[in-house]
Amino acid sequence: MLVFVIGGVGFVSVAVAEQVQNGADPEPFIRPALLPVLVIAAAFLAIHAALSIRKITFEQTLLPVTALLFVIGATMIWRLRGTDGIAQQFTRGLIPGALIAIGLVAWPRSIEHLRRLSVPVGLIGLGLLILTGAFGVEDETGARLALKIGPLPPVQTSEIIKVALIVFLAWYIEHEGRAAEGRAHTLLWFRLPALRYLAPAALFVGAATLALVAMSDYGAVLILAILFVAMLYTGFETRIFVTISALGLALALLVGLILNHTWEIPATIRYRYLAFQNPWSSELMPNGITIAEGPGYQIQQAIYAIIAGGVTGAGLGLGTPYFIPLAHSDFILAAIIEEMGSAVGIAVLVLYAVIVMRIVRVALLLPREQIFERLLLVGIAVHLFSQVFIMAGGTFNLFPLTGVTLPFLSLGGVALLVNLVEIGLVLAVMQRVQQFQHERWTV
Amino acid sequence: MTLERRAWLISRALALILLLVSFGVVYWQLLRGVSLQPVALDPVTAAREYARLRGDPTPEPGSEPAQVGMMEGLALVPQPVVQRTVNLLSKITRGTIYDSAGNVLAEDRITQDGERIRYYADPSLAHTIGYVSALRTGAMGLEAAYNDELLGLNRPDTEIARLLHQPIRGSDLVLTIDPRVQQAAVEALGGRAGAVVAVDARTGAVLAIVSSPTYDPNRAGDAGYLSSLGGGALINRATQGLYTPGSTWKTLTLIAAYDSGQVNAGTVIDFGQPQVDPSGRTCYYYEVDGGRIPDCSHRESRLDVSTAYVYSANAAFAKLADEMDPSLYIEYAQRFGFSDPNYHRRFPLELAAALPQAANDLDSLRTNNLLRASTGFGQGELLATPIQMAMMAQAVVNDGVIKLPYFVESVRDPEGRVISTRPNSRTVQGLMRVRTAQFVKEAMAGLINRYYGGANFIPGAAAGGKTGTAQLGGDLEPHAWFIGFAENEYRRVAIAVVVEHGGAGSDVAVPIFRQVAAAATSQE
Repeated sequence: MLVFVIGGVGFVSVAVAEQVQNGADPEPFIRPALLPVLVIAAAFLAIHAALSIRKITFEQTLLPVTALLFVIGATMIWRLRGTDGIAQQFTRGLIPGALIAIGLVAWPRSIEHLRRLSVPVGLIGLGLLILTGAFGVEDETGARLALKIGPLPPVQTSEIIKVALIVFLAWYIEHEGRAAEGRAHTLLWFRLPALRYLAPAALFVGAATLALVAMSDYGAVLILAILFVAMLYTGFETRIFVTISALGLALALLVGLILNHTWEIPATIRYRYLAFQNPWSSELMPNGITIAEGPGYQIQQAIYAIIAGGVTGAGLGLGTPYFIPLAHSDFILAAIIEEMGSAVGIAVLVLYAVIVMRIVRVALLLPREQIFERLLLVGIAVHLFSQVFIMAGGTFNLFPLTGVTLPFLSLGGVALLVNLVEIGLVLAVMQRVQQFQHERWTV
Repeated sequence: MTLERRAWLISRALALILLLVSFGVVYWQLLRGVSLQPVALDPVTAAREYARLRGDPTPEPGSEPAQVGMMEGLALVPQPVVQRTVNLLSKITRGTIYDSAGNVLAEDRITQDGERIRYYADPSLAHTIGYVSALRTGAMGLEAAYNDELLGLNRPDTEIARLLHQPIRGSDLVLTIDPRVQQAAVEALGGRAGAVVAVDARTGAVLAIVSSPTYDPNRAGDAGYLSSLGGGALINRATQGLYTPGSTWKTLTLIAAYDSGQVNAGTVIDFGQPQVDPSGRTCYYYEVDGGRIPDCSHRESRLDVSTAYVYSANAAFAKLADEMDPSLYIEYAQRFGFSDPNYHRRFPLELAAALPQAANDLDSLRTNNLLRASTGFGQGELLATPIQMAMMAQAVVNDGVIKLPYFVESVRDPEGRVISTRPNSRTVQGLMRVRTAQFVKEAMAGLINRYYGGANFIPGAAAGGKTGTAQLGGDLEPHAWFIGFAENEYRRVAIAVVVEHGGAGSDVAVPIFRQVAAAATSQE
């Protein structure tokens, strides 16, 4: 099994190393190009070693697939941003992420503690978010995404709130779910939970949404909404989820309508929507030419990159993905398709689908009564999915663009770290499965 | 439903959604890929496509320019397209352009800084070959007309090279230009403003084309160079210059009159009573609708039509046009491309060409007899391009058939294999009967016999032609014209010469014709 993992990661690494060399042809460049690959291999092999020591061997797909995605992303970042980009990817994402994952695997009781500390975790996440909404650092687009505390680098708190919500909802449903269902009122076909049970979750999500809107981080709002609906759907065994979603949707529509009448729709959203309808629209080009790097310009560049890539791609280092704004973060999928082709682009999406399915598979192997762990894993799967869905759909102009990062691919500090910690959590929970199956076997 | 069931469902649903999202790639690459190709190779089509995408109001059909220049073309496509086009083009070596003797006329060279530049050898062909812009996104002249070939597009091996990331080299062009004839034309014109076109009458191959003043295409990318040029140096006078044809137009009036049966070889024109003007010259006058058209070119009061043509008797041709059925006269003008609504379809040149006209308004040519009479001897509202007049001479010497002038003899791949031959060769027929052509040809030869020494005029070749001195009104010097032909076993050539404000055609344009025709008909 270990051989398989080494083989998988090793094969991928070598392939990538070769490609990196092609980009910077002559021999003296080969050695430095191999170094990042070695770091990546070391990080993932370390996690694997931790798993092996704990004798967790029943899930052999998740980690190699994650490593493969990370390597593809790292190659693109290396190509676009050079050593600085890859260094940031390692120091702020990969290395701390791998250490935390190893820690979680080595210390299996951490999940138990997380369950007990769910409420504080949720509240801290919410608190940080509200602080950011109020005092965050504004970036050049006017979005207030990061909180800067003292000398530390700015932290994107909207990434933390997503994990906090998963933990909080998993705990909440485990703790109150059955009771809420028992006390539900029936109204026609719908089943309404008693207000006492609905209120805390609704309040939590509502507060987070308001803070995110204040930060104009609409991508995060969308992810929270998807998470909320998906987790309630999975967590309850009755149709209660339908009621709650319908209520949430009605509320959102109502607020939206009121906002539409009293305020103007924020320019960001309006332009994003126009750019979605027609990236070449003259409404996006006040001077007739799209030189301004507006939303139409971004989407145009992404589309031209996708077209330029064809099936096999222009070849690493041979295309022009640097024409795309934010090619290393939001639009990394377009950059990958330009240089590695739509074959790799589609493969990346398939790999994400595999990750989602494997995580849920682990959840289903858990004992029935461990609702917290199960919902935690489902939440993580849905979170990864929603990031990919929003970003890939935005890149392909299937719906209006909202800037989130692609898990494991995009250059990102906190976002990448959070995604790696999520994988760490999945790996840690896997030990429960091992124990459970072992007990079942011995009994 | 249980948690297990729901979790299972949700994982399958999410995986499925991701697979569906990946169809976005397929959509852009397969369905929109072609129309959004990043190459602005065809600025007109690209501009139209992006105007549609932008939601601009649809332009009236026909109001769009036939050829969008590079600057306009670039301004009309989005900046990302320009970016990607520049990048793509910078990696392609454009094909080399040769003349018919194998000399390089245009080629890609690498400077010491490793920069790729386009080098042009002969400024006298600047208007014909054109030039590519500094970033290679735009082109003029043959560089634009054969852009796809010069970039090697649509050639299977370049598609493979593109896939394998190998360097791409475009196809080469071999032009019809004969360097000796071209050189003779340049020297004969001597830098005076005007144009010379020499066409091989049997095939339509353009042997020489000169438009003066010219410019240096190697400096086209220098800031301010092109805009600093005065005197319309960027206009290709041979195909785009519109000039009053003067007496050379009598050729068409003669064709129309003879071909329609209005006159025959024996028809005699009676000029009536002569009047002696104050300077002592004998002049005849043709009076029509209160206008008097003077004719001081001859003493005889009666001339047969051929001699009237040789003497360039204005009154005779005013009378022929005046007495002819106007619709018939217009039809003959249109057959030769003048005020022809289908001009660009019938005479599709490889270069941008101006539309020759018979009159500002054809209805006034029908109803206004004075205008038609003036048109008959080449004044009126006529506007002719030199290449169109060369085609008229060509039809006469070719038994009534025009072989459309073309510039590209063959397209060859970098290994020298011929990809296509004479891509723009075609024939224009239905102009006149063979007998008409022979009659007019004899009349044109008569002019050389009468004034220029017949067989001695062009050594070793029989020649014919018609002079023209296009009066411009006011104090302006007239345009000097000559159209004609020369033939021997080696070659049959049709030539048009115009010198702007040059004076009398017989003094200025004839020597140029003689020099060019001699070069074209001599084998060495």
